[in-house]
Amino acid sequence: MLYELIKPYSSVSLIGMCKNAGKTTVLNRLIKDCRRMKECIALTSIGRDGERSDLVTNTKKPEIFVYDGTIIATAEKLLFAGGNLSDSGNDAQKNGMNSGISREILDTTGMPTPMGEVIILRACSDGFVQLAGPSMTAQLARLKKRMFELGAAKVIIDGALSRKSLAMPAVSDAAILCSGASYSPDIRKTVEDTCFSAELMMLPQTERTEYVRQCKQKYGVFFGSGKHGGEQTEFSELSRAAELVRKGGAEAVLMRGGVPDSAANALIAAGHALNGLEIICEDGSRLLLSHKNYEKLVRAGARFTVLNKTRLLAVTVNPFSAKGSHYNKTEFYDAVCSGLCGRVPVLDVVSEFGCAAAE
Amino acid sequence: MLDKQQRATIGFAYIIKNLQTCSPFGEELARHTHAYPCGENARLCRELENVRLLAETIRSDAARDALSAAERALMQLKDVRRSVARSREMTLTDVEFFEIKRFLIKLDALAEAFSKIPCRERLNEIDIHPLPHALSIVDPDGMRAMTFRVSDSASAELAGIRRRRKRVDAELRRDHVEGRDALEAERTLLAAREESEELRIRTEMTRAFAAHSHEAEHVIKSIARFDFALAKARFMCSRGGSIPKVEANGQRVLLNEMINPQTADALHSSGRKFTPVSIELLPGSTVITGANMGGKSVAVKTLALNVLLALCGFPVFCSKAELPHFAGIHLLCEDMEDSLGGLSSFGGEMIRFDGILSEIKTESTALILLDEFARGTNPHEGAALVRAAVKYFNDRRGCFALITTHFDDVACCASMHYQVIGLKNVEPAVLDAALAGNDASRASVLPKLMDYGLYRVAGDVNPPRDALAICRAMRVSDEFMRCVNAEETKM
Repeated sequence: MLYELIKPYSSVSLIGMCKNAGKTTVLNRLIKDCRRMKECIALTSIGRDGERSDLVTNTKKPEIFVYDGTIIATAEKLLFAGGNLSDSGNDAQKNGMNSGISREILDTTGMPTPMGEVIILRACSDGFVQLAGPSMTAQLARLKKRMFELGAAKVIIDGALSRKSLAMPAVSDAAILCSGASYSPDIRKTVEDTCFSAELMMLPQTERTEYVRQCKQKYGVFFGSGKHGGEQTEFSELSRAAELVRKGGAEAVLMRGGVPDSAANALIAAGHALNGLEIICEDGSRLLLSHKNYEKLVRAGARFTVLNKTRLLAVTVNPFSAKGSHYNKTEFYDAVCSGLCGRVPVLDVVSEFGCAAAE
Repeated sequence: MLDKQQRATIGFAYIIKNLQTCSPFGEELARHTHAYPCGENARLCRELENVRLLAETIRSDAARDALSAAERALMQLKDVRRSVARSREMTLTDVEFFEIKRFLIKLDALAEAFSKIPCRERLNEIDIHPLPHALSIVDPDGMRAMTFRVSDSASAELAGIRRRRKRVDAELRRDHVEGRDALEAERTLLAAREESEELRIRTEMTRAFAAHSHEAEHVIKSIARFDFALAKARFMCSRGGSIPKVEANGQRVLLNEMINPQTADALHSSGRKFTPVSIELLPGSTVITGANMGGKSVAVKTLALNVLLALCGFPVFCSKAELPHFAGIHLLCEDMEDSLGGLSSFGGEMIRFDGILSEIKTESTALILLDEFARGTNPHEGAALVRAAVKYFNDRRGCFALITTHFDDVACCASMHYQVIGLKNVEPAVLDAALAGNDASRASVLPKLMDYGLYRVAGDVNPPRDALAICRAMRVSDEFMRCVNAEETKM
């Protein structure tokens, strides 16, 4: 059961490598597992998800199926679209719609979305729902708090489409990364990028938290032993921080905010080894480096750490592509497994690969 | 009655910003505050009486718990006016019923707290009572739960559908079930039937609720008035102030010890105090003269603020206030000329002045405030313009004009003349000693010695000659001051 993986955490987000990466299939599996364990869960999403057909690629996709008692936060207009768009049962059948839930309204939030205000409700029956939660991190944090107050034991967030779009640790305690054949027709590229994304989400926590907290500027360069203080220099511009690093002798460099490729280039430009330089960023989602540049820095001797660690619980793989170029499911699963070297469980929830091991 | 920029300049916007209403209804009234038209003097007086009664209640401390319970209840109210109005036109959604139900439950708490406020029966046009009949429509089982779902008890049909659906759900949850497809189809059908039965019931509920919608709107209006008046009373109790006497046919403006909270707060943060200013205006023109930096402009703005507050039904920041119910307040001061781009300051001023002249033609009573009128031109013609203005407003019925000026031979035409006390009572030795300090203290010493109060003088007293003294006190460059001294001997 996937439940064992998420059991210790009160909030979990699902993050997709792309559209149709199999996020909803994994979510449905989690919901089912939580129900078996009789745990009251709350669901929401960052932005909109759970449509019957994908709004971007117009392909048929699975819907989110919830059970009686589940707490759901979604946009008002979607309440009336769960399958009950029409008031007549005959029409609903004719259109091949699935059953929406019977519901009880628990609260309104005042948080606007393009689909109306976010409403919190409780499912009074089993059925299908569509999710569209707030798109701002601060609102999501408030919403989560309210759902716990309303009795949720766990909040599951159908998360963003890209690891880059959200500061994940601020939103949830743990994350599951979903990847699939829709990412690219080239299986090697999908595997490589998936493993790289997972790698960024698994970066270790820095041990210099104390020193970093004292650093008021966006960039900081640390000399001397991390545990015994030492000289410290702060900059508001990357170029000046990089210049100091290039002079040699620095032990760590802090980069707040996004870390783009240009930052890597600034550090590498010196041409000499970085000698175990620690590059500290806020969290994995802030590293916007290309895989190539990341590798270059690592080969030059740098190591990456984060201020806020994301707990990556699993990587899920979906060999079916919405665009038609499916992968061989065993080959895909094995490639991701070997790419991650067993550092995080890899699961294919449809073929049940890896699911037994996760229990 | 004063545009947005003027309201900000005189410190009115500051008052509104600092007013702490508790509900969205009161907040809306505060945001759209307007002066009562002079035909509505009775309504204005009733509003002022409400504020007075509430301030008295706050001060007496007798109903402290009831008031804070009322405020807590007000804070929990959400705006349901759209849903209430929509109930007369179309079927409400369950989200709307949820909000109405929550509102009605919170209203119970508010009405309970309100019933314990001793002065409630004397409050004008404020009647906050629960709406039990409306509540029983949205909460037929009387559970008072802060959630909403169309109740099973609403129809046997609905209860039947839901029971059947529960059974189908339970069946489908099993891993291996025969005829899954048929059961899923039944679930879809049941979901649609439930939705349509709920819709029918909601339509009935909406119709029943609509019958109470006008009463609900009436109560909401009462809540808005109560919240707004209470916020004003609280503000008055925390900042000091009094209830003005606004008379339909008043023949004088009397404002004792006026304060401008915005200026007072700004001064406070730099360690200084606002000097309260008292002034009386009779019909016709009143002139203020006096030293530069003596606070004439602040006096004019403070007067404008307090008169506008009174006409908007607010307490005023004076120890005592009496004024006529003005149909218009007109302010012409230096801070406003930038918005008429392209014109010189004099040109802009004359265009605005002309606007004022045409507006007061239609107003029965008007307050006209001119701060250093015509200062942008030569003293000879400038003084002629100001004298003309003084005489013009003297002759117009219902006009109360207050004009500040540095020009000579103006005050003699006015019905009253005030002068800023300024440095009048400061011994020259004290002044010299105080100004002997370093450069940095110079600018701050003068305001400390300056007396910003006003005193009445005879009409034929000309403005004091202290511009040069102030320049010296501020130690403008010695080299330049030598030139000034040379010029002075020629005067």
